[in-house]
Amino acid sequence: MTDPELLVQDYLARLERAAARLDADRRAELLASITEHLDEARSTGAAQDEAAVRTLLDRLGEPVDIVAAAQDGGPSGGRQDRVVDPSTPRRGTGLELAAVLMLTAGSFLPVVGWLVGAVLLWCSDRWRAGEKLLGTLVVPLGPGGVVLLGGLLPFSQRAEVCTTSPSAPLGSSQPLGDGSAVTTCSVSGPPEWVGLLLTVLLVLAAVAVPIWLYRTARRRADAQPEAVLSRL
Amino acid sequence: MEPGGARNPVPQLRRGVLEFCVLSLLDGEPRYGFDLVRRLAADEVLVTSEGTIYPLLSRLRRDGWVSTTWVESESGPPRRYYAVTPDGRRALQAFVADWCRFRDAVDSLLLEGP
Repeated sequence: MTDPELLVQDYLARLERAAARLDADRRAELLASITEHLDEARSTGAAQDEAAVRTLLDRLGEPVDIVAAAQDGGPSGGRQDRVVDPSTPRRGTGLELAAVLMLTAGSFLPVVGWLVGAVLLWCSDRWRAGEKLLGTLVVPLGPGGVVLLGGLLPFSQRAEVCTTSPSAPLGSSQPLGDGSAVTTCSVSGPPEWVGLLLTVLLVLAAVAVPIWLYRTARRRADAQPEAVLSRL
Repeated sequence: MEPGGARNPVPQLRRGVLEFCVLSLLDGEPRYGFDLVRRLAADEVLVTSEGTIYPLLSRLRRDGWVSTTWVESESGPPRRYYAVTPDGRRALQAFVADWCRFRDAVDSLLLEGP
């Protein structure tokens, strides 16, 4: 004779172990609803003795099957009807993560890092062509490129114009008798902060766009198991 | 385990229709989990293990087709009630139309002969 309470505890422990694969929210929700189901059945008095509790647990089904249903979105049938097919869309986003890391952090490895990121970007099937184009054009060579090549961009170039004259500078009370020349320099072009601001904006855009792309890929990866189960 | 092994089409059929059976059961009135599960499981062809209904309910909730509320119970612990949302009702109505066409087409081929 086994204590019915022990049977229930054992079942819940097995369910909890099987549910370790699920993310925290789904695991908590699943455990809570199964616990409620068991509490409800036992509070009505229908499942008090050992045999009744065993029937109750049998009807619920194997914990691994319940977790499998939570995992692939398949409501019933458990593992035996999960189709293993090499063309099944992959669920991870490793490729996308690598692409985004190379487009951002990797871009500090001059040119090569960003190019690798761009190739990975175009290899992924998680993005539409327009999104790949956006990821490529905002910003070519990435934040690293902006920082490393920033000095060569037109807006950060300031021309220094110098004129040399043999006469004394204006306002000088004494002419210089030794024939030495005076050089006057002036700097033309946009003020320094314009270049700085543009650099910061380009770096932000070059970081924000890949991050947004990655989140989009994640969302699609998460939605996929449901999408695969097409409605009749 | 069901007869037929890998060729058994019932799990696949169940997969397509079960969520709409849930929506239909909730359409008239909200129900708590245990009650809903026992009604669905009344026929074994629809449900083999009752526990798998809960992940389905959770998915329907995430999809916005059902909502949940807690209601105190006189006889025991508080109960989580499930109700169909307007989105869920629309999905159900669309499915009912599809299902009738599907069923009629299959019936006409299977039952009425060549």
